[in-house]
Amino acid sequence: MREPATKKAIKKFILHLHPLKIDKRAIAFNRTFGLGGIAALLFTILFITGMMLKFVYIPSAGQAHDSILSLKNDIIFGNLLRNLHYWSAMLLVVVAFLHLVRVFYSQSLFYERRKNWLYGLLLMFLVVSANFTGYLLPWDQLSFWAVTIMTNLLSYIPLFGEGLADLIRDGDTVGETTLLRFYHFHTGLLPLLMVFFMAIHFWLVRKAGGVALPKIEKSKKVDTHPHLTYKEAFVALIIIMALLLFSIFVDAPLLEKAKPTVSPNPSKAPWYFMGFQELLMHVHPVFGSFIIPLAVTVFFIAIPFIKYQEIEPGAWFHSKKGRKMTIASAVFSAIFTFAFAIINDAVFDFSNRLAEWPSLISTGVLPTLLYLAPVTAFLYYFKIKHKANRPELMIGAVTIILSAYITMMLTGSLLRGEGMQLIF
Amino acid sequence: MKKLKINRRKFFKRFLYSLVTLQFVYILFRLFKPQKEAADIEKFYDAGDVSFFQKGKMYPFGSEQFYLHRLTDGGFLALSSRCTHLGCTVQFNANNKRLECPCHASAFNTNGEVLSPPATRALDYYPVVFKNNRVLVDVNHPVRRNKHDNSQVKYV
Repeated sequence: MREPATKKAIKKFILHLHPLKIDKRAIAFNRTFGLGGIAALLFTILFITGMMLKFVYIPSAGQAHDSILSLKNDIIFGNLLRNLHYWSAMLLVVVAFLHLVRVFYSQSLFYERRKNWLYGLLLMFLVVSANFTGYLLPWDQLSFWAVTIMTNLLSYIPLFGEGLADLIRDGDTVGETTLLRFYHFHTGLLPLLMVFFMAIHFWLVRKAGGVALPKIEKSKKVDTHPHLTYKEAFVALIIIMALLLFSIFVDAPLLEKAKPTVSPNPSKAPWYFMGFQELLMHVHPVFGSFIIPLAVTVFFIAIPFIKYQEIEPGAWFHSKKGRKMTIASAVFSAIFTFAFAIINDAVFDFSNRLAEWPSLISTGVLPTLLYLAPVTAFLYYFKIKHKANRPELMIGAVTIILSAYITMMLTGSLLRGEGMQLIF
Repeated sequence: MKKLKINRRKFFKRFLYSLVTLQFVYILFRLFKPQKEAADIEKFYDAGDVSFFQKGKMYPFGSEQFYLHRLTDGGFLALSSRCTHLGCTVQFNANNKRLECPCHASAFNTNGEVLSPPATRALDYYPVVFKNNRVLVDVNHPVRRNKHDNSQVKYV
């Protein structure tokens, strides 16, 4: 009678994560899309494949690239292992982002979930940092220059930017010691921190009573096992299958060994930072690398702490009006941001036209205000004309920020060719 | 908001915790802080004999990532080939007599001054000294500068 014992063990273990009985609405797939769970699964896959890769990889400028070539060519399933790690990491950034978006739009960040929203933001930062530090490790032309560009973007932060970039790189250029540093961040410190904060994140979900749901009079509860656990296993299997298949057919990119004397044309930051690089092409570095990112971060932290008259935790987009606003804001922001980027360069051209002004004003304050004016007008229109309340306006504002970043990211990654010129 | 109450015991407890945390942060900071070597003439890069360099020409030193420019008046200027915009490696275009960055199309003249943006700062330069008629370049200590001025050019 081995099976019942195993079953019991599984059941008992799972009950550390889930309650015994669960609201039927909480386990409907389109309530959470399983995104948090998928992120945790991807972390596990990354942990396991990463542990295996550590046995082959040599973190030195001379041997890193060769060790990856030998992994690809000489070791059985070595290439698959690397692909699996690479694509899981890329998927994790996407899934973690979607998870954040889901939590926001389903309004699951207020009251008892406030603190967990902050831990979530911290985890998002750790996911991106882990991805970015891993990006350098193959030590090929792509990774070397992407990290060079990204660390130099940091050095534009006023006052401490230069010191921060030197601290991350261990010197003023990307080199042998940078690789060692990134290797240990990637395989030691960051996973450790992530495990720690993930535990808190899960615990706070349970403490808040699970997934946020709109209040109804009578809710129907079902047993967690098998109703939720089978669903979880099903999604996990699909993700693992899809990742495996994708990794069999699509290779992770690997260019020639890094050459510090030859920059490829164009050189780009990793794709998820391209919105940031695109922003820096249009506004003054102090704004692009410091004031605007800081403002956005503070705004995201502040969302659940602002005073609202009416909040509906668990209600998608707050209301029907909120849903309409989301679509309108996303379309408006995508078109406006793209148009503004082009008009700012082609028509305004402040850096040349107002050459005698201080550049902080002509390319920093002025474009920022010119961008913010129509955005404010757009939100104000919704407030007056459609009587949007504060949570709905907040949804509009967040949508504008997210849509603008995605637009810039896509412009920078897909529409810029040689010399970072637009291609069309 | 609860009223914050601090008595002596609490105060010392927090004070000690903060001290320990600060120490830990400081140790971490020192661990990560890049080591700055002092200028040591033994570690300077020997670029060659003074008489070898013709006036008004640029000499690339790819492995050390600098260009040695001998000005028409005989002065020496060792320019870093790191673009001041985002750190790509600039290439010398002999036809236009300018250094061009392949990444975002910044351009610099032979003294490292910006000819076209997005770069805003002149190229860094390395200190040059002369010893026994040889040109020695301190390749470990690039000097940041906003503008080029003649005091940065060294004469034999």
